Amino acid sequence: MSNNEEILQFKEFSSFVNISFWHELAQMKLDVFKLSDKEVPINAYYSYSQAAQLDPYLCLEYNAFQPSSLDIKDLSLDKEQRPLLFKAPPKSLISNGILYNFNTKEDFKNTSKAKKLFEDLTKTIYADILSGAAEEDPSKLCQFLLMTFADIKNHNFYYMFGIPALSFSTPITTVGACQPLGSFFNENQLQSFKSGVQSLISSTSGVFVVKKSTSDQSTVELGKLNEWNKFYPNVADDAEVPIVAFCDPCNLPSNPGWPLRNLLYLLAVRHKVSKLNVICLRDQKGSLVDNSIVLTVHLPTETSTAGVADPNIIPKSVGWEKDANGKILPKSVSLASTMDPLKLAEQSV
Amino acid sequence: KTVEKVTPTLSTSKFLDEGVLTPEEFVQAGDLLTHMCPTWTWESGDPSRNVNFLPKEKQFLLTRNVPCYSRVKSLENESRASISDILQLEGEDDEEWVAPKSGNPDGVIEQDLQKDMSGLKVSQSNNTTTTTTTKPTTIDNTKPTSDDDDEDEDGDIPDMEDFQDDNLVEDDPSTLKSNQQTNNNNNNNNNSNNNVSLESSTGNANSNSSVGDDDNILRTRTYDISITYDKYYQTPRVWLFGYDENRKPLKPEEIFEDISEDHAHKTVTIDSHPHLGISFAYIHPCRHASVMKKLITKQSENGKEPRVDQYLFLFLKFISVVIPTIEYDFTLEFDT
Repeated sequence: MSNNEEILQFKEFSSFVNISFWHELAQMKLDVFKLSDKEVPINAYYSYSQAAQLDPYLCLEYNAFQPSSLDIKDLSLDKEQRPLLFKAPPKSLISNGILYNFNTKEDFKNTSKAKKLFEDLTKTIYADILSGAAEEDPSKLCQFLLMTFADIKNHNFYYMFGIPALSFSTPITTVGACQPLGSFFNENQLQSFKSGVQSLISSTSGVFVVKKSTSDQSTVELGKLNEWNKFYPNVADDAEVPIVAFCDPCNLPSNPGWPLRNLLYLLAVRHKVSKLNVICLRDQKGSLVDNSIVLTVHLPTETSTAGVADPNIIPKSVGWEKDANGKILPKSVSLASTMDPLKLAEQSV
Repeated sequence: KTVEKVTPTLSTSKFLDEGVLTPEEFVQAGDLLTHMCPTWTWESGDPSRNVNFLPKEKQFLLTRNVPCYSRVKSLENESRASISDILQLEGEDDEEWVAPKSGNPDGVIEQDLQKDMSGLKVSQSNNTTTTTTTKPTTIDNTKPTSDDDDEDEDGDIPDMEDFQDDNLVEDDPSTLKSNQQTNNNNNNNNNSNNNVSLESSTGNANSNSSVGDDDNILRTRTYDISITYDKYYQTPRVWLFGYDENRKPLKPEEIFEDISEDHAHKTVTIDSHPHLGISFAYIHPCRHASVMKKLITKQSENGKEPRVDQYLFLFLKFISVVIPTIEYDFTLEFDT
């Protein structure tokens, strides 16, 4: 690390579990899961257009159990009978998750099990990176784990979130200060970038490969992550510093949000990227680019001497949700005020 | 509820005469709102609670995570003045659709508005006792749990004190530390249940939003606001659900802190949300139509053609009198 390089720090997600999710979970526990504590796919979303000064949130709502895509069984049904699909709100991206709802407090508190589940998800993400699946669908880079214990009788819910981020053996560093997007691109390039990005967000899961056009100074080329090799075929030769853009849930002036971590890991492992410009797209006050920032980062080399990542060596990962003291502890919420019949009766005017 | 079942759905437009909406007009107005203000979305809700007079995908409107930086108490004195300011500001712009200034001498609007509001207040206190009952649908759902739920011992709140475990430790230089310091003499939580101790933390859980030491992140309450169609009153109905600075659901009495004093406990009560089945605070719609009628009349007196698809913009402007500190989006940014 030279003098002008600093460790890049990522802002973690905070979980924001809507009360409607707990109601839905209580219902599912009674009607569907019963005593099963098998994994259940759920869907959350995060916004890259949060009111300024709000933390980056991973949100769960009543529709978390709706599937994010139809499987073959559903497709054979009449249109009317197919399940509703999970839809992220506008200016948000979907994050797929796995729910483990435990039957007992003791199971829930069994941290060696929690550790195992977190490692399993880390392996899944790592495998998706190596296989290229995450390049086809970058939403695979941002997956989460939710462990719950629903004490339905007392309307108490206990939960822990884990959003695994693969870590490099040495930290990622920034080169120089971050800059506003407006000074990274000239006026014409900015226009070109703007018009391209909007239409592509949903089909790219908010991750873009970006290249300033070589033929003229006024256009920017945009592509999906799986088009990387088309954009930067010779990145190892260090000819030019590649650019990626991602939809950033974070609003801090010089720190990116959590989803960038696994993306950078992918670029280092799959494409041997060592230096990179990252556009953190932040949609604030109706503008997608005015508040966006650009970071120049230095990625450590994460491959063996043979130049290939070893699929058997699972990288370290971090990402358990912490409390304000930085401790990894379960959270709890009491919904007696909206579930307990006695309390409800008291509140009615 | 029973009355609602036998009330026929309004089919002919009475928007101009009575300030009410048909379900089709509600959809029209909602379409414009979601189009102009993308923070508002149409939601389908719980499919088993769908109403058949609205499209399956357009059962109610929702806006999420709306910041609410201060409590009403702190601006109660200014609130009325600021509302009339808003109305008057609009009036100065000829392109705007509420133009109180052009036709009326200053102050009339304010008086009118106050009259409207006081009307709301009085009739409300008569009405609420009879018309609103909390109908906790969730009771039925939760009752059978007690039988099912066998792992649980006599009401003890399970304790996570012994949770701490070396299995889960992260020391990662690349993770931004939240620089929030603990604030152990936490005054806000001493009246809440024992769970709080589990949650440790709750650094800045004072009722005022405050800025964390270093990270410059403002901790503030947020609200989810939803608008449903009320078949009995033939108007929109507004539902509020709040979260505190630590993303914990607000208790009803805390929600009342964000409702102007004239309306808290009078116009606002708790009931089960028709499409989610969860208890929410809502603004009672019994006077919505007559207030809307007044606003519409005023609009036409000022030579503006009232448009039914703009109903919700007008409506939300009026609702902001009730919840002045919740900063939801209702700006109308197009030529009329």
